[in-house]
Amino acid sequence: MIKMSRSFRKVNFVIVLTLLMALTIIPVAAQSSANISFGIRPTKAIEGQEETFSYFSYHLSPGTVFNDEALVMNDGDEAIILKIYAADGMTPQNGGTGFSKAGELSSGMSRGTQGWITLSATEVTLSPGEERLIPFQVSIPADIGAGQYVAGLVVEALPDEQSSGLGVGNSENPDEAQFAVKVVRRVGVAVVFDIPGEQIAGLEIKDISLAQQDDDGATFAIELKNTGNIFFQTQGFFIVTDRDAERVITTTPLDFDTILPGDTISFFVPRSARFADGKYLLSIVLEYEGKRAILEGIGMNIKDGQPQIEGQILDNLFTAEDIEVFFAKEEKGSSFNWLVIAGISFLLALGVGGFVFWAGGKKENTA
Amino acid sequence: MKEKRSVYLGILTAIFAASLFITHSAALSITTSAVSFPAVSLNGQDQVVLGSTSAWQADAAGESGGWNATISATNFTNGFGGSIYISNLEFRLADANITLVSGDPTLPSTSQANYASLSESALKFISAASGTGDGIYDFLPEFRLTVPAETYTGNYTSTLTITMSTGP
Repeated sequence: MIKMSRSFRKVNFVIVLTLLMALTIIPVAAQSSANISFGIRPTKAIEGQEETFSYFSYHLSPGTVFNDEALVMNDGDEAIILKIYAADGMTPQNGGTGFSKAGELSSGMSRGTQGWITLSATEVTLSPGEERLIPFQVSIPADIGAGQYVAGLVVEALPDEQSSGLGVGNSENPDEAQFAVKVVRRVGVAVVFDIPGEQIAGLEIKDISLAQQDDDGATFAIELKNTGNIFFQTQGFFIVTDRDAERVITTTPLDFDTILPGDTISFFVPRSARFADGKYLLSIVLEYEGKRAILEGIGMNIKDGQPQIEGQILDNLFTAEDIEVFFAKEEKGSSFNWLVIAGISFLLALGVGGFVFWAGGKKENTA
Repeated sequence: MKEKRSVYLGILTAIFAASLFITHSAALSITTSAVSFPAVSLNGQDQVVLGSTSAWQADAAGESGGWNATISATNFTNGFGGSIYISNLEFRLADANITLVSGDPTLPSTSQANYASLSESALKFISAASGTGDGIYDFLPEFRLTVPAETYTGNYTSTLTITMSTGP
């Protein structure tokens, strides 16, 4: 009886301790829900199309008209009024999928796709925790060409005026300027229209420029254009060589997010770098959809620590074999990392197994 | 032996109960905190001030298809014809400033670790690849404003648009 009550005490202790731990975490969730929290998502997923758990994706012929619905949610603990509208898909700086602002058009192939969607509401008021289905109709233009077009369904909250200084002058110091920001929050879900026909992947590296020069060194920006009719992601390298292209000074791996068809977009090279005064050549090699895009031999002259981009000075710097070596090195590097991880895991497993075996033997001897 | 089993059962029950409290099926959402800048005494020189804000939060619990967040902004205007081009406002998010609140321990990554000028065009600053980012994450962005020498006095306001998106 005494033993039973001890074990019960242990169980109760564990339960109370865990609940206390949980209670310390709950305020984080409560804190976030104290602010407005809202979203939009598809109501159903299509079998075999995993992406439809997250966003709308349709394979449709030109001229198709059909109906669907989106679920709009208020996860917060106060009532909210949300604007809801269709937007054109566009690629933000640094890649990925983004959406135009209300009433604005994007510039790529998805320009005007917002007009393909007719929503049953333009504004929705939701009480705390409420969800509402918003039906919409999609009409694909009859004369549209093949390719992947992206629109979006966006919910937008009224702007918060967040800074306390807003609108308050400082009469004591007339030479002062004060600054405040309002924040508009939006949540968007993509609506992808895949129109059958020839799919073309094309990428042009348009430019390399100096985006920033500060204490961390030089940060470069690369301008890319998706010249095809499908979206894709791209990986590759930013290569800096000496002016004669005889010595590679540094290579930075690049991993760029989605670029929508027809979009021209800037990506920042993820690491800034410092170079000694001198003359260099900059090159970009990218791989996408089984193809490669190259921009090479862009001159850079650094004088007194200040880089200056000089335009293309040399071409045909790298042979196909040279480029192959860059990608092969990367693959070798990543497989080597996995080999190291696998090796360490094996040794750890061996150690734990050995310890268990040793502990078991010791127990048997004691018995 | 039975006692041990009871203890283990208790632990499992408690962990399950705790997980019920922690997990939830939320809308993809982003919570921002106020961004404020110190007042600047104009002295005919360019001046740089740092913005201050507390942690923002991305709630992507239940979202495993990947997501991203972008920021764009308008020029600062004072309502009397004075303006400061938005390119004077810079933004960055260091990887070290992204932390897990709950969910997938693989943290989303920054897309803008170095300061970049803001513009009316969207700039992606944080993202999670497909199969990751199913969780709640806090992050602390940094703002830097250059107040040009020719700035007039007044109360300047800019509008930031923060968008959280799912898509290909």
